[in-house]
Amino acid sequence: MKMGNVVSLVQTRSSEDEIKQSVEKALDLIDFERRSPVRSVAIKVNLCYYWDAATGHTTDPRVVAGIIEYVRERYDADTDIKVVEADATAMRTKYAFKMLGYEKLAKKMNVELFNLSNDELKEEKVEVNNREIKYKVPGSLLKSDLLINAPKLKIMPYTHLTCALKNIFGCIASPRKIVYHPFLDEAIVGINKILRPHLTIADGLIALGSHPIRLDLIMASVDPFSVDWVASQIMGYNPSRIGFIRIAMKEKLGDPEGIVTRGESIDTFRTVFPKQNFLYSKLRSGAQKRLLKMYKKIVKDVVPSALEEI
Amino acid sequence: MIGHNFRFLDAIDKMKNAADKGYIGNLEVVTIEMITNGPFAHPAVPKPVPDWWFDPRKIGGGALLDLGSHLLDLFRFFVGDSKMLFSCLDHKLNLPVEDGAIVVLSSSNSSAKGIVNVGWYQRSVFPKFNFRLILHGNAGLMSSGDLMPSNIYLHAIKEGTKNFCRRLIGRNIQPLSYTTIFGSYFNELKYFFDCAKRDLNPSRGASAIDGLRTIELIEEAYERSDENG
Repeated sequence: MKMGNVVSLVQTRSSEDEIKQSVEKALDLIDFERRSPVRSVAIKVNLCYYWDAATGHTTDPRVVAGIIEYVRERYDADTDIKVVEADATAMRTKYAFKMLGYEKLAKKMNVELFNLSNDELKEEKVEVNNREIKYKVPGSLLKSDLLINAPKLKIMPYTHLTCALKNIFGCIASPRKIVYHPFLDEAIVGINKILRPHLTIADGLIALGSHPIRLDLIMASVDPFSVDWVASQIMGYNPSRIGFIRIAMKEKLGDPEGIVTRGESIDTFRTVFPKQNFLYSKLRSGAQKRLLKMYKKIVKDVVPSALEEI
Repeated sequence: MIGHNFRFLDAIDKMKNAADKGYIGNLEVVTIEMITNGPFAHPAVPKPVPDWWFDPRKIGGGALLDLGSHLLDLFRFFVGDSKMLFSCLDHKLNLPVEDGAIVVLSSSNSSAKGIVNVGWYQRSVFPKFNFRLILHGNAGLMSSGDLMPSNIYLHAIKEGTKNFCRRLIGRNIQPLSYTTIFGSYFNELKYFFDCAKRDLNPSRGASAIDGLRTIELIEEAYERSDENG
């Protein structure tokens, strides 16, 4: 069995010590092989907005603390560790680091916080689904000896799920990632063809479905595709019907054949995950927009811009 | 008149009239809370939160000044001149200004006391907003939760249909009545201009003195919080 096809699922508790032990257990279950030499480590977290990890939107600093301790114990204690994130359309990394507890974490664990949007950028282009896509890729990630992907397990309207592959999309240095949204599935696959994390450790302590849910889950694999395949099953989706997973298969970025899970079963988490029906929310949102537009035209009432934007 | 639009929410208007008419007896305790994302609410069209929100020299204060000023004004609207008894400021988001505050107040003229609980720390999705005011009197209680629409979408359809009918029969519509919070801005401006046209004192609105007293209460809350450590 290829190591890349193994995904570990470990149920943990909320204390920092137990989270750290669970990170270790998750990596032991996938027989993570030590790469060497490792002088620089980048941990890519998901800080999409200024919402605390308890909302299910951002990576929990306690999981990152567990990863940092693991790295320090397994490699040289002086290994250069950076926690990295790039600015997003509505989020500025410098504020997210502060508001979400990463500045405290960095101080406590003596690691650097790094905004990928300020990195030396390398222009890359890649073809996906017969579409050429250009990216500005942070140079430090390409040079990193160990790139650890630390995504959050959550739903997202555009792609249904966002976990390992989508978190790498967050490495794109340009803050206006919204420009990729018209071809988001292809853009996710494209950036994953350029940036290949050596390890993915997903934070499912509090996952996000139709509402936040305490799953107390840590997932690990060396293959982000396999993580997303299993994560989509936990969320109640058929992975082969998720757009970017389908394209990733077509582009030979991943292969569902032979994916195995170790540790807890998928059902342990799938049965409690609050599934989201995006069809209903899309229909409702579309109907709202049409009604508001019609109302404005016929009744000639004022519609505040905040409502028109919805 | 100071722009304290919460006074002009339909629910608050009803509560004020009922309290003034003695429906709940003597007002004893007022509880007001509003917990939202404040400036950090994710906009429908994504754009960054302006930098000045993160600069304490430019914003001068946090959730208590931003949202709490409206709630303190509401407290004064119901009980009159007030004194600060206790304040506790929170910094859950590691910002240089408070992202949450709980203050306890008392009326200068009666036995009424109250709690104002305000915060920026809760993920809130527009147009829902987490606000309530409860009046406890010695003869009964009133809650804004009972007077505000429980389903904002059904409320919008109901009020929108009423305006549609008004338009059909050639009557004036009630602008923004299909919303909750936005309607209060319209009511406030309409009241102000009506008073100006008729040369009346806009006593239902917040005067400059009211605004000043509210700011003084906030300053005291900041000082008290320092004392409380």
